[in-house]
Amino acid sequence: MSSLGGVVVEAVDAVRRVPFDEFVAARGQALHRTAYLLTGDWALAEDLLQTALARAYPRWDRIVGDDPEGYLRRILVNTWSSWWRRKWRGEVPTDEMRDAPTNDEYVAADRRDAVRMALARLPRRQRAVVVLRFHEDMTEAQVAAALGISVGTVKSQTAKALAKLREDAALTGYGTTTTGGE
Amino acid sequence: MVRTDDEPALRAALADLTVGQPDLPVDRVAGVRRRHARRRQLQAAAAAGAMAIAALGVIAVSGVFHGARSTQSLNRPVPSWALPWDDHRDGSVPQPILAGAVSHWVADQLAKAPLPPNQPITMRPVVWYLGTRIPGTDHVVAVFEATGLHAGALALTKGPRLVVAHAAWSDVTHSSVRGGYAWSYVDVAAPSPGYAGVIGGYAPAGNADGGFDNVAWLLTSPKARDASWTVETAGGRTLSGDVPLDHGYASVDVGQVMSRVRINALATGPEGQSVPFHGWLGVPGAPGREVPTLVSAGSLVGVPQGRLTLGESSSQGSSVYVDGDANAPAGRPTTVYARCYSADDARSIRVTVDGDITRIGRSGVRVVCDGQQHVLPGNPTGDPTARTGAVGHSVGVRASNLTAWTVAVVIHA
Repeated sequence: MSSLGGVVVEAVDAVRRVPFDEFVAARGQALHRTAYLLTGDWALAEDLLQTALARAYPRWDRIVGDDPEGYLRRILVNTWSSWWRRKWRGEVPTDEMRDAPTNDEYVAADRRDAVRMALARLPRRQRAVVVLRFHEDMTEAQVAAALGISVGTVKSQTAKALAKLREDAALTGYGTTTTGGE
Repeated sequence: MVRTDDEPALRAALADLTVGQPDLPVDRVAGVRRRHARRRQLQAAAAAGAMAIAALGVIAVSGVFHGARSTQSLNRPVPSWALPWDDHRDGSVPQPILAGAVSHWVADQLAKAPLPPNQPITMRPVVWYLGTRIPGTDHVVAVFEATGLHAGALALTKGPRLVVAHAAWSDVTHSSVRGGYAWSYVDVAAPSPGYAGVIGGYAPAGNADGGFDNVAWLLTSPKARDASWTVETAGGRTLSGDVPLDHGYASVDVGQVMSRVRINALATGPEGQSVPFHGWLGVPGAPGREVPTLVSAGSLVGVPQGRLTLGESSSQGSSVYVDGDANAPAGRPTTVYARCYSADDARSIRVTVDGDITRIGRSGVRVVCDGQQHVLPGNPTGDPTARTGAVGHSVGVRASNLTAWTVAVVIHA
């Protein structure tokens, strides 16, 4: 086993490890977007991303394999899940916060807001599945591995999430529409 | 029947949702390293604590640690851009009133610099640091930080803001002004999360002498255990003290003062190691905005009393007062009686009779602020009806917020 381990380490060493700073500069914004889709708030997303990066940072040199982004994404989702369990209290939303008045000129913003709210209403696991599957374009197997669930659960959670989003009419106006009956 | 193809639609919706992503923060990697360092410190502290408990074989009694305290715990999770300080909303001010402070501030920002109509709006929660009634006063103070594209105000797209809001308790609990004109704000660019100084201010408290004491409040890192301060009090005496901090917050009555409170050191660590900190109590980046109520500059002597004597008036900072009973033609000579002292580096005030209140600094007479009474010729009177359309003459005083003065003007018939 030890020799096998040695071979693995050697093989990984042969691949140029991306320095941490370089990785953050190159992929940070993409991961930030993923974090935003999970949290629904850019500031919280930055916080989530930095928390995940801080967890990866001390073991960066020991991350085995050539997919540090996948590793980061897994930490990101797991950290977000743990925040949820803790009932995130870092920021206390203010009551009675006034929004600016909206009108027809804000259609695009309203539509985005509808999607954001619909995503927020999804159960935690369904939301993570949706983001990884349809934003990160991960396969069902990759999503299953990232979330530590079975492929069958990924499929069922995806179907349920899509059904809820359809009920919410959040996707109206996006993508292609086809005419036909069922 | 029209049907949406769900998966492409969802991909498009998710991509669209990330429109408006903020620029890459310049300090992301530095922020990560700070978090890592803090995490290690916490782990080390936890390990040391566990070893100590194991060695002593005792279990700490909760009372030792002020179990009844109302602030959130040390190192509460805050966003990366915010100060990692505790939340000292103690329940003395109901949350809807504090929320009113935020919404009114947001409305102010929106009025100053609204976003273009097609700009998406993202609501952000704020991070609270303080929401309390200052003991012994009718004063409420709220401190929070906010960031980002907030309620459609362009001014809020330019980085986090630190906001200190003040109000009278009687105003915020009065339904007609609640959440409206009750609050006044000091609003600055938020200090960096590593800021190791203080945020503070003053609340006036009427005293038995008819003057005003100042209750100073101070907010800092929860690592600080106490703060040493000095202030110049009435009569020019220097008063010093150490105030223990409850997880980074304290308020203390410093009495009648002739200067701002200076913070000299913040003590941290179990042995009370001190971190030198030389700065005035106030809001970082807004010198002169948080000011104590100064002791009066004192009475004037030898001022002729009569129908054409305006004042005497005693105050602090710039102001204009109008005497509607004084009626003299334009062009009459005047004499200014004045006494002032300054708690900052201002050296003088300027007194103008019937001047343009927007240009007081360019006209009238300059009075040196040395604590002594000065008698100087003022500018001639103007048209008594020019300013307000009614009879009467005005006296304008231009002074720094930290300058106390007493002024009277005599118009010569």
